[in-house]
Amino acid sequence: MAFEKIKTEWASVKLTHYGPVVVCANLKDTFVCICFENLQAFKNAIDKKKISVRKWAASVPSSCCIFKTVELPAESVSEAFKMVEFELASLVPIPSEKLVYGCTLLSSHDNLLDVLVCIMKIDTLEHTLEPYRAIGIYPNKVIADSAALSCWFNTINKQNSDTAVNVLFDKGRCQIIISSKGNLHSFEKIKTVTDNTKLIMHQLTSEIIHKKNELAHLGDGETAINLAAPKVNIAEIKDFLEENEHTDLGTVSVLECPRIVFYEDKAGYQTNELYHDATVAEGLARSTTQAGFEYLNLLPKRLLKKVQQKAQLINYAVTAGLSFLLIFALWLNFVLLNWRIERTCRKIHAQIAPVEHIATSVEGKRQRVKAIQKQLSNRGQISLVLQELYKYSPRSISISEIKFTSHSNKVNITIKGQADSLSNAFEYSKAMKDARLLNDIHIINAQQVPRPGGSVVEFKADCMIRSI
Amino acid sequence: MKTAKVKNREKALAVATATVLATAIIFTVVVEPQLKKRKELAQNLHQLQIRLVKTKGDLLVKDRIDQIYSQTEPLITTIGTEQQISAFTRQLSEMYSTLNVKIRSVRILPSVKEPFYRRLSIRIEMAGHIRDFLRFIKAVESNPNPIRIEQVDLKAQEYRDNVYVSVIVSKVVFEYKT
Repeated sequence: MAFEKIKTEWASVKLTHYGPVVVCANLKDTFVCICFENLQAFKNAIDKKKISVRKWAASVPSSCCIFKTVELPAESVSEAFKMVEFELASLVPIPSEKLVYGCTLLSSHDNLLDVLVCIMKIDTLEHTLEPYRAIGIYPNKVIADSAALSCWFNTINKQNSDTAVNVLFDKGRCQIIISSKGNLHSFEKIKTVTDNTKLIMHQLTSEIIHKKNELAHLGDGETAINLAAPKVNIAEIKDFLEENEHTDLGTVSVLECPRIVFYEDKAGYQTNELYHDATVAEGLARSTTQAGFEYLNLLPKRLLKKVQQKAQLINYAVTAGLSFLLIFALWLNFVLLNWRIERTCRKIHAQIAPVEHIATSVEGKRQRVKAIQKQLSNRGQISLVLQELYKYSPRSISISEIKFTSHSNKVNITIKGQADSLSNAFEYSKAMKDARLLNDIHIINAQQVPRPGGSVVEFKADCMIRSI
Repeated sequence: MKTAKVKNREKALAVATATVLATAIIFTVVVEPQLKKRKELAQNLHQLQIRLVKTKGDLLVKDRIDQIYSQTEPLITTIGTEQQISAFTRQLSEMYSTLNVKIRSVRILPSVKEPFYRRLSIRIEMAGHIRDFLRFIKAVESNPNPIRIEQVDLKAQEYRDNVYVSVIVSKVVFEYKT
């Protein structure tokens, strides 16, 4: 079975001691293990973008680490992790600056935490990671093999038991991993001297029973037993367990090791041994999504900080680039919008230009004609107004002043005069009702003014007539 | 814990302030000038569109305007402004000289320049019988030239039908012929 392109956030890589490389990719909670012939084949796949991974997890052999149990007055694992730094000198006779460490919770009691500390020399870590770095892989997470296996068992077969004895069956090198409340408690490698499954199982059974008895004090419930093996060995193991079901072993959950996909279908590697490494790789990949494994990361703090800073810088650069692009797009949008309007203006201008002089001449003529028409309008209007004033003004009214002002389309007439009495003055507008032009005359002011021998009423009238 | 909360709040405030500042700067430097330009261009476009419609309209009515204009063309004088004022004054003088009125003053008012013509105005103040004034009005209104009485201020005098009149007469003249 070959694989197609893989693109993921997290993947794990495990370089086997005999050459092939096992990669496990986390594809939305589905884990795929891919085996490459060697590092070069793996590098080629990366170069060809067959595998595109942002963050890598790698493992170091547990044999290169020192595991110590420490009791610390801490409230949480994060607090304990910080305290371990000061305990290193008492745990290992090597200067702490030459060491890296990780820790996981074992148990807690009376404000004290029992933590399992995994210590490793920086030089050894650098040496282990060297082959990865040589092909351009800088892992973001490095944990011990046994911790990865513990994670694999815990996530594959979730049980209610506080404690579990997990056995990875492999001809030649079996591993027993003890976990307590989902955390790695201890591990042991068992060397087998035979290829016979039943004989290996006999050897394992006594070890498992021994471990089970050891764990009796750790949890309240029964200790769960999980046994993982390659598919080819499962039938034989199950037969063995059926034959020995009445022993002290109890119920055993048999799990299948992860299946392996071979890159470029070159299925000629030592597949039997690969299952062990594939299980470690999948455990590593699973640990990236599990809580409680972040403090087992053996990468030095300064390196992690550097990686974080690098990632942050990249983020800043990308954000700045995108922001600049957005601003540029915004500016370009407006520029294009304005350019479109300018183009339309130019088009209209081009349409106007050839006929503009004709239009100007027409406009000039029109204005002049209008001006002359206006000059020739309203002729005879003043004569008519004076005629109507003579004809319709009552004898009791005498007019002393007339103001005739011509506007654009109307003529305003203001009349000042005298009357015998106020009533006559106010009846003046009524008297003019029959006039053709001055029928809308209004008295706007009238007042009695004393004169020698009596008084007269002075009034002011206003009339607006439309131009003819 | 509290310090972390305060730090986070300060961080959020700083980010908000920076965002507001950045937005303001971007708006001022990038958006606003373009918006201003767009407003100007939109106005220009609108004016051009009006001009285009008007030009097209002018072309459509060109023949009719030409026809009307040819009728009014004989009324157009194309001599210089000074000569036009002198001719206008002479015309008016010819009208009132035959009447029995006393001319109190003749004042030339500032001419008004319009885009395609000029309007000349003269204020004449006269005193006499209203009949003579009406004759003057008739003479102005029957004149074939484009002259017009703009304003009349008529005041009665002591004697019956004797009036004091101030009248503004205007004339439209053209400075050039198209």
